[in-house]
Amino acid sequence: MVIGDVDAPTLTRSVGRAMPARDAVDVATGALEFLTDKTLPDMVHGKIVRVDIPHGRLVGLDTTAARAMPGVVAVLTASDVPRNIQGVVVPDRPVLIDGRIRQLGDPVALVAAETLAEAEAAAAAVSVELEPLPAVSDPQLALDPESPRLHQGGNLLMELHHERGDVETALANAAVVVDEVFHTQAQEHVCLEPGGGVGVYTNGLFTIWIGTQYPGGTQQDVSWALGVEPDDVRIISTPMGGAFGAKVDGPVAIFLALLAKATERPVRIVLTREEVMNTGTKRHPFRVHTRLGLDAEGGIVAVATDALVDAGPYASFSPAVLKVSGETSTGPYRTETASFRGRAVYTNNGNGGGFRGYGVPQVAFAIETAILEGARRLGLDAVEVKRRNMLRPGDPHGLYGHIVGPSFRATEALDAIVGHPWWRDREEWKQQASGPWLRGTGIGAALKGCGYGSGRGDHAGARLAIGTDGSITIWAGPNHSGTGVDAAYAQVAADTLGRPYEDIDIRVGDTELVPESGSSAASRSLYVGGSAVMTACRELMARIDELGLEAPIDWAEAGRRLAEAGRALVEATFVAPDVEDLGPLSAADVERYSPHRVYGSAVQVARIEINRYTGEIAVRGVACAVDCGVAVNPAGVIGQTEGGIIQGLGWALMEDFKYEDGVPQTKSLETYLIPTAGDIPELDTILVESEEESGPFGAKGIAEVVLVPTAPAIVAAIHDATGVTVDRLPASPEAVYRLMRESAA
Amino acid sequence: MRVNGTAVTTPDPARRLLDFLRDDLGLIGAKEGCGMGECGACTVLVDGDPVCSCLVLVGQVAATDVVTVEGIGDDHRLHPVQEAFVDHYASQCGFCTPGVVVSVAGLLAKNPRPAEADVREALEGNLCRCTGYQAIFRAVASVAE
Repeated sequence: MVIGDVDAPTLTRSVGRAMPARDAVDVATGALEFLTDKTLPDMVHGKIVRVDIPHGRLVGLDTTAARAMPGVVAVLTASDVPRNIQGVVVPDRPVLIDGRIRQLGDPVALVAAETLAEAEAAAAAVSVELEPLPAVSDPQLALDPESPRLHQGGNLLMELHHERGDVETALANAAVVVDEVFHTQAQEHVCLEPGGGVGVYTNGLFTIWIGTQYPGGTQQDVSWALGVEPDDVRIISTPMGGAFGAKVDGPVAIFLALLAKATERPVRIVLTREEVMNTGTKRHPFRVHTRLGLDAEGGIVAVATDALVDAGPYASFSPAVLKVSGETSTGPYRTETASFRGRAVYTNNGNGGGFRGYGVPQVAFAIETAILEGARRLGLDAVEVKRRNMLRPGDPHGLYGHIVGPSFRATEALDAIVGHPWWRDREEWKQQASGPWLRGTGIGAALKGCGYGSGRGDHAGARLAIGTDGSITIWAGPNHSGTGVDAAYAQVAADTLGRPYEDIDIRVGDTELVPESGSSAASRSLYVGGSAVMTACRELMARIDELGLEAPIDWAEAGRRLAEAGRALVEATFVAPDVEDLGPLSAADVERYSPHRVYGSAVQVARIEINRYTGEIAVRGVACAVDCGVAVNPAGVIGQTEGGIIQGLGWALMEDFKYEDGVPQTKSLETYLIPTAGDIPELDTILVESEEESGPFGAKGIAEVVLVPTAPAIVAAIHDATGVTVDRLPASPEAVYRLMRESAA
Repeated sequence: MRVNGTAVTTPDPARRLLDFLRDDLGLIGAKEGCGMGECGACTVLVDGDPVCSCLVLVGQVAATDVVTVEGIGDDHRLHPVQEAFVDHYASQCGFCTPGVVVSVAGLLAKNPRPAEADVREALEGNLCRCTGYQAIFRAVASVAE
């Protein structure tokens, strides 16, 4: 179903038609070679030697025995790394450990051998002497001056603070104040392809085939650590077997470069599932203290949020995640008074990093659940409270006061969900519950910005070539990380040029050919990258216009004439516009908080059944109304929505990456559970369309926001079924059963 | 042992079937996602039954018919399941897809008109992290009709 103010595109256009991913046939036949499948002649196999304690010091490292093992070609340690430091936002992580150990699985040496078995044997033969230190595993205790300091500057990685209006006075005058603490857990991405790739060093140039969401960032990482120019490093980064934020940073490309240079042979590293579980980034656990003030009619008078964020051992993208948490801490709601204090803290737990939603799900769970509780105390319907306060285009943002852009459609998304049969008929459905099963229905809502935000110079490039036969090739970014965004790029190009979709050849994921375009992250790929494709296509059309050809255009002739004139290659850059009306924000604030001009939103209804004797929850249906601008490829939007809902369902109900004193307890897919085919409810996606003036053909990015409302909607449904309020995720059967028992007592 | 209809021999019965298929025969469709039989990305059919090839040694399947995703269709035509996966947008990153296709083809060979509950049961050993599974269910339903 499509709701909105956009004319249904006719079938003569590509935009608006459901398109399969461009690699769909090769995927279905198994012919698609992933980068971890890649084999090159004379290739050696790399293995990483890792420590098995979460905190301590490396006091001895002996590689003599390993070097003498059969088949071993190279053994590298920290002294072999030209610049032994990395980190995209904060350079705080050694490539190979030379002293301090901060995470279980930290790497101390690299081995390359003729076969994988020989590499594994040699890695096991590296002698490592460790001095364990007490693990810093509680973010609150980590801030205690008596706690061991994990980095020179102390354990407080970042603090962000902003207040709009006078929060304490507003709360003092509120009819009710909900004052609650919410806890969320670490979530692992579980990309089905664990990760890795192949590296080659020839004639002073590195070529690294590795699935990365941020090829340019990986290029920078490698060039920095190896002490070479970025131009000497080529990253080829597609296809990739799942990403979700897991592959936006990480050290493996540097390992490949180091081993390729040392061995002067192609080298492959394929990570094991356990390596990824132990050392890969996670969704940050949050402790969120929310104070929500409502007036007697349910109007929001103030929101005060204090978030304590477990960043783990290294910064990764924690500072950027914290900014996004702040910006979304007031939810898709209006208020004139709000504050946010966020602190990201180093610990020896899992490394918090980018994960689809990027700090939004944690604060959304808090504000949505606080509204549920506030409405209950006032005797109001929580959905009516949400509707009453819903942010509209042109409103000042709740925390920062900048003006929300004109394409925002959260109210329409809420209306669509309120009109959905699963909400409309909820009382009747509830009455039909039988046996041990209780039934409940709930609604959750969320917003998230599209792109990096203001003050960041968010841009993407596209390079277009017209051949002398009229063929069109476009090298575009951001990369296809499993989303099939390259199909949408081709749709945008086809309609801008007025040519069939099949005529457009799109290439992504290669730093040698694609202009720097940033990461496939932040709900920005189609929004920014698609706009760059459109800009390049428009420039080509302008050049063709100057030729004065008769209509219809003879593309081969146009290609020949442009080639003769040296004008057959077009390069274009699109810079995403910043917030137009800053409201009370200063230029320095823009840099500090990166507020967004364009937001997508999503509203979901979840219907669930709970076993009253066991606390088991079965989700029966989730419908999502997604405020997506124009859906360039509706199949892509629906696919992202359905996948996002199920990742949100996993986080809400079962996924829980556990640590004990910094030691991972759920390091395999046997103990870390994600949704399977048996857990899947009915899903329904409603596209709520509008035209985003700065996006390609009116499109916005939605792939993150669709994950966010699921947990709050399920928590609201649990409340509806049982009367209990879940304040800690996941809502496991044990936890829900305990809440029901307490409530009955 | 036959792989995709061709008789093959292996010198090492203690080799994992997955490694034999990928490294010796170059059949890279079966993927390693966990190495412990939890994710199903390495699923192949052994005498028609879906099996995690990471858990099986070559010697254990010496006298069987093994079919991988490469052997599901033929050189000229996609298997109807493969066609349905393309038409119903049933893959995103695609890493789990070969294993899922094999499991579904195995199901349909035994039960051409499976109920959705049968499909869910047949796919419980195949993890997919991208699609949320519903697009896969739709693709299978279109073939089963």
